[in-house]
Parts: sequence; C-alpha cells; structure tokens
Amino acid sequence: MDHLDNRRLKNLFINKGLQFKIIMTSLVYMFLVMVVTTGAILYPDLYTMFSSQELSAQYQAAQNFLVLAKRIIPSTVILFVLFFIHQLFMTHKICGPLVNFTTTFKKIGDGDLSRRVILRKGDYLKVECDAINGMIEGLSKKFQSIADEHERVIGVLEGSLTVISDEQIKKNIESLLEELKEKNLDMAHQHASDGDTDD
Amino acid sequence: MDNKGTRKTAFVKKDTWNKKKQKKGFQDGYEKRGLTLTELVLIISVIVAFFVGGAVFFKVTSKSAYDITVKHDLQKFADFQDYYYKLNNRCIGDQGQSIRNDGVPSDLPIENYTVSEGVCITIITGDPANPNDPDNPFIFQAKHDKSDKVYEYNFQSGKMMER
Repeated sequence: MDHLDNRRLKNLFINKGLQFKIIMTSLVYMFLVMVVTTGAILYPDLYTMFSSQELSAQYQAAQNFLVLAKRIIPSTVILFVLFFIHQLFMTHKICGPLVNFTTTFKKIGDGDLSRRVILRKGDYLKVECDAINGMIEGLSKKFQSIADEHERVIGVLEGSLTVISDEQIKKNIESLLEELKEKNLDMAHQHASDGDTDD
Repeated sequence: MDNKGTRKTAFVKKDTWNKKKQKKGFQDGYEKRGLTLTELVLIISVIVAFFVGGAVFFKVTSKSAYDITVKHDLQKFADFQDYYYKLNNRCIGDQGQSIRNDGVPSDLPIENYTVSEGVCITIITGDPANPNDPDNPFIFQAKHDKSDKVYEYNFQSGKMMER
C-alpha cells in the first residue's frame, strides 16, 4: 500500500481526544514509575540521613543523596520530555490509520467500495490495513459478479419478451426489467468512481 | 448542527471547533470533542502537583543534606583543632580567618585538609593560644552557601549549636 503514499506526518494531533487521553494517561503513569523508582533509589540514603545517630553515616548518606539528586532531576525531566514526544509520534502513527479506517468504513456503509485504505510511511496497523483492503477487494468482486449476473438476467428476460405472446406476462416481465435496470444503474454508478481513494 | 451536550467540553463552541477541524483537514465526523475541561484540568493538575511536590521534596531534603554536611565538617574541624591543640598546645588559625570550599579563596590553609563543597568555616572569637578561656572562648561558625542555617562550635564547652 506504500506506493500510494501521498500522506505525511502532518497535524500531530489527528485525533485530539484519543491522543490526549493516551498521552496524558501515559504521562501520569510515567510519573508514577519515576516517583516509585526515585523513591526506591533514595530511600536507603534518606533513611540513614534522618534516622541515624552517627554524624559520619548521616554525612555519607547526605553526600550520596546530593549526588543522586543532581543526576536524577535533569534525567527525569529529559525522560519526561522524550516520553511525551515519543507518545505524540506513536499515537499519531496509530490514530492516522484509525481516521482512515473510520472514513473507509463509512464509505463502505454508504455502498462505495472504491475506496482503499492508504497508510503513510511508518504508520502502524499495516496488517489490519491489508485485511481491510482485502475485504473491500473481495466485496467488490462479489458485487461485480452480482452485477454481471444481473446483466445476464436482463438479457435473458429481454430475449424472452420477443417469444412470449401473453400480454399479461409481457407486462410483468417489462416491469421487472425496469426494476432490474434501475438497480443495475445504481451498481454501475457505485463502481464508476473506482480508483477514487481520497484520504 | 446539534449543539446539545451533556458534558462541558474543552471546545465549548462546536461551530468554532468544526471550522478548525475542517481547516486542519480532519475527517468529517471524526472526534469532534477533545478532552473535557474537567479531564484536562485534572490531568494537568496531577502532573503539576507531581512536579511541585517533587521540587519541594528535593529542595527540603537537599537543605537537610547541606545542613548535615555543615555539621559534619564543623565537627571534623573541631576534632582537628582538638588534635592540633593536644600536639602543639595551641589551636590553628586566628579570629576572622576561614577555611572554605565555596569558590572564595581560603585564608586559613591547612595541609591535607579541606571542607566539603560549598562549606565555609570561620573562626569568630578566641585566642588560639588559649582556646579554653571562658571569657574569650575559641568559637568557629560554619555555613553552607546553599543553606541559611549557621552552626557554631564552642571549643571550650565542646558543644555545637545552631545559631
């Protein structure tokens, strides 16, 4: 599907609601992980600092704490920012295809089987995209075979009109033909826009 | 356009949001709402609270660490003076002199002896030749450049106290 790659990583917030929810929830969890990890690292020194009776032990713990704090604070901020950026790009790569899927499902619901899902380079959900496109392809073929069958039935009915003499039967066949042709026209119309794969 | 909503959203004016959405090329009907105002405020509050809590915790604990460092260095300096006094029958340094490691040069250089980073110990009163004089005791003060607390050691009484 990459050959039709005409979309780019623009609009980092494609699906604001979903992306925000994922990013913000992840950031809160990231914070919790950082708090727990930092707490676990600092706890022994903090315990010694505030509970030991020996000044030299307190001093050693205080020095350890100061060294660790000097490194932990900037690394936490950097990690947080990197994690946020990573989340932004990752959700973008998931939400982009989801937007495309939704639009495609809507079109299928409207009876338009001409649309195909196209992913950008680096997008996730490639397997799902192929499955959806395969499904549309299969439905399209089925639809086409029904249309061909329709065409054949119309031909047979038109041929039978020339040999039937009963007026009532003729009238019934003519009204049936009209109905069939109308439906055929609809199907032809739905197939006419083949290749129109906007996103 | 259906403007009825049961929840207050961050994008209160739906028309405005839809215009923005069309401008940005969003798919029609896809994700018209962002986070609700309450959710957004709650999440930002949690993150800000974590940041502020963390900052306060590190600030308070760091101050305690600096104070412990000062007390330790002051005690070490007192022990050194005591040892020196026993050997030489006098203390080292005169009133007003200080040994420091806070960027300012020390005027009381002692070989193979240094204080921790940011600490400054100054001899406040006393005669080094007679440090145990009750009228003029040998007293030195210590302070860390990142803490406001000042600790004082009285050589005569052998006690450390916070000023």
